[in-house]
Amino acid sequence: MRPFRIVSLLLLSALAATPLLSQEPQVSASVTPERVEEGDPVTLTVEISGDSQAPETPPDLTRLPGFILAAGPSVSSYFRWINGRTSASRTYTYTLLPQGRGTRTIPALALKIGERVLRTEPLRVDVVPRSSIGGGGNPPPRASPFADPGTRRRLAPPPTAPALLIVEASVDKPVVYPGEQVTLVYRVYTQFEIAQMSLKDQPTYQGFWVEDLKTDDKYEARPVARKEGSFVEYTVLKKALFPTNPGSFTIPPITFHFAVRRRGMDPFDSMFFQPTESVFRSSGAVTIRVRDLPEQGRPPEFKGAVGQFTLKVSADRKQARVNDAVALRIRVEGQGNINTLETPGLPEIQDFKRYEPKVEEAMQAKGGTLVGAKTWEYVLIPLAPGEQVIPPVRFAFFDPLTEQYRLLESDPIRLSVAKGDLAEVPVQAAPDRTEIAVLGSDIRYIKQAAGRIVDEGTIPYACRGFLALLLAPLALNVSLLLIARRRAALSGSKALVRRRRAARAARKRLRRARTLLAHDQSGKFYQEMASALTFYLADKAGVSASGLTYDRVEEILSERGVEPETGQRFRRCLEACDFARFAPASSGKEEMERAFVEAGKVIEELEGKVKIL
Amino acid sequence: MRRRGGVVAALGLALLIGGLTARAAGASRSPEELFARGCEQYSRGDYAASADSFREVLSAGIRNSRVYYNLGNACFRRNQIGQAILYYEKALRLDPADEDARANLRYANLRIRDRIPADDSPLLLALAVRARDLLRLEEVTRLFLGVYLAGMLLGGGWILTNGRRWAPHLGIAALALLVLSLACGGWMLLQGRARASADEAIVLVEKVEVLSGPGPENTLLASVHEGTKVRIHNRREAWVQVTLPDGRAGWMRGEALGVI
Repeated sequence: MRPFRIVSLLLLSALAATPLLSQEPQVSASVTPERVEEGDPVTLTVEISGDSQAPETPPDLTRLPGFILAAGPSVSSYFRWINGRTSASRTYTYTLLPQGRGTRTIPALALKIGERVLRTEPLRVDVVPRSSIGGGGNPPPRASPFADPGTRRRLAPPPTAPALLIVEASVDKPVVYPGEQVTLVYRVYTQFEIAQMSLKDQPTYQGFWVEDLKTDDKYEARPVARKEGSFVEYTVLKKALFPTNPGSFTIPPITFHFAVRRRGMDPFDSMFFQPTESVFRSSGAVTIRVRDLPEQGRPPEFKGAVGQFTLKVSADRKQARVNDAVALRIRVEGQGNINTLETPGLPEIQDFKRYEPKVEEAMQAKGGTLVGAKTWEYVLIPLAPGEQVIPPVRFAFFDPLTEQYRLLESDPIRLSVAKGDLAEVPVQAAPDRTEIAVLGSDIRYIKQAAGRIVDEGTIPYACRGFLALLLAPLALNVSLLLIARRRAALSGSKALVRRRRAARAARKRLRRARTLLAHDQSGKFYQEMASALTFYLADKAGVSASGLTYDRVEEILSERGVEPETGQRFRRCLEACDFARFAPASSGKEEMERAFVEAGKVIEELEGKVKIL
Repeated sequence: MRRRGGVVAALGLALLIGGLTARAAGASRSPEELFARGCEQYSRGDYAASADSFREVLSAGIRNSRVYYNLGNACFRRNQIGQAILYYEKALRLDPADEDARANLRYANLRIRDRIPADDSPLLLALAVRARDLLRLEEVTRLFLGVYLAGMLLGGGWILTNGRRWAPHLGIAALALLVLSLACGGWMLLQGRARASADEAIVLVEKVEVLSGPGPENTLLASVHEGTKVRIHNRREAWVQVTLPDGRAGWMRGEALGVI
């Protein structure tokens, strides 16, 4: 094990040292043959030697002026390591088709290897007019789609002239509208027998939506006469192009590779050996100008459909129940690019729940134009019973034949919706309640109410009448107040004096009654007592003492808010005095004493408690 | 300010009368007839004629919120957004409680070019302004008068029944009503001031330049577009000093403005 490990280590260290020992890289290019007949390919070989490091990218020859890249690059590399020295080479091989005649130059090609950029020498290729077709060693072809029993006979070229093979691309109309079909046809005119054909590069159609029109493998032969001589014409490719935008678009040339079969003069040769050879041909570039769709007469429903279409809208039933599913089919059919048709606007339908539509489309080529149909199938769920109307569906398109917009409108569909069976409808399946949809906005309408048109610009309070209206009641109240004050002052002064003096006068009378009591003069005593009570009340209430009856006394007292009990005591006192005055025999000294005390108490009570008196 | 506003109004009136003499000379119709004719023309879709009819009502010196509102609609239909906004504002000046005019003004303001900054006044102030505009001036005046007169009546009763037991109740009620009438009076004065003010205007031309001073040689500060509301501060000959909705001040030509 040990010796093997040492050998491995040595080997690895030697390998690690190789970059130091490797040679400087060199680049060379060569082309074969340097002289070529028109339409024949040349082989370009670019070789990098002296370094094992590969360039970052192989030289890009797709845009080489004067040449078409027919094949390549194919890469082969070679690496050798002897005694610590490496030699390596890497070769890129390209097949190029020179375009036109004369001297064509392959410019210096730049290769980036590591940090360095190396350049090849420019190369020259002389393209000479075609004299005759040389033999080739191509493999035998498959069954040719160009098989036509009559072709061989017709294809026999005049022995003196060289045979020709031409590829042409053409469009049916050079100026179109966006979305209008333009048919691009590639035709091959040949004087050879074609064994096989293939495309060297995939064509690109920038700015177009492309649909293939020709699908069968068999090419129909058609004899035609051109100014170069008699040819057989094959339509090899047919495409429907739909421009997507306005502008000028060029369809670049595409290169075909043909394996053609020479028909020699020697019948033996032609019978047993059918040599084929490679011929490359490019179609010319085709320019299509796409005009803007006219602005004039463009309906708002227009969404870019161009062609000729019909519109059909149908519902799968006329009667339904709430929460049933109703299928609404919108079908647009006709000539044009069905693929890019947008949904004809299904207007907002109130009281229906709708789901995203299922879209189906079918297209086919019919006489060189694409026709088809597109169907949108909506599922609508009625949410409310009654006569529901699915409003008309509108679909607008531009007809390039008449150069006018057309607007199709379906008939409204009436749907009779019955109430759903409540038993069948689960609770959560209640119709969805939505906000009232905002379908538009506008200003509110004018005011039309009849009525007087008066000037409202005035300030109602800025007039004398208003001021008068404010001041009049104020003045009235102020004068009322003044009058009331004056009257109170006038009448109130006497009354006030009486009121203030009432208690004093009553006490004075009571004192006099006491003296009378001491002298046992009962008649005078009771008179004095009655006077004290009566005058006291009359003074307090500001009334005259002369007309005071018992009832009036009680009324005055209750009017002034005196408690009924006190009022009755006052009355009883007064009654007792009056009774004793007129029946003196029944009153003794004790009774007089009691009446005197009671009267004093009542007056004191009225005086102390009832300030209102 | 009022006097100046009066002069402007008189000038406007004279211009309107001048423009409409041919029409007015024919037959002098009553404002009600003209109003009905304008409504009928509007409903027919003849907005230009409808606007003329409503303007004819105004030319008689009548300022009426319904006429302003309808004229605003007619102008809106004719795509004269500045004029429409001006007349909606005038209608709201006379009848701040008119929800239709408020809605249409909001809608018309969506169509103008200059952005109107959102109203960022404090909540209480905004509520107060809304409360002020709950009733129109005539209604507030009637309310004030009613409350005031009732208060005065009760006050009189209180004086007359002085000394009676229920006199104090009368006095308290009278006092309460008079205090309430003071509040109503304040409301009325506020509304009256809002109606009488002539310090706001609408830009009526498509675009007008705002300069730093009254004269074309001054620095250009901004340009405002049709329908924008500005506040007028000062006038000097044909120039008006204004505050823009964003708070900047400047001078512009007075003929580009319609005073509300």
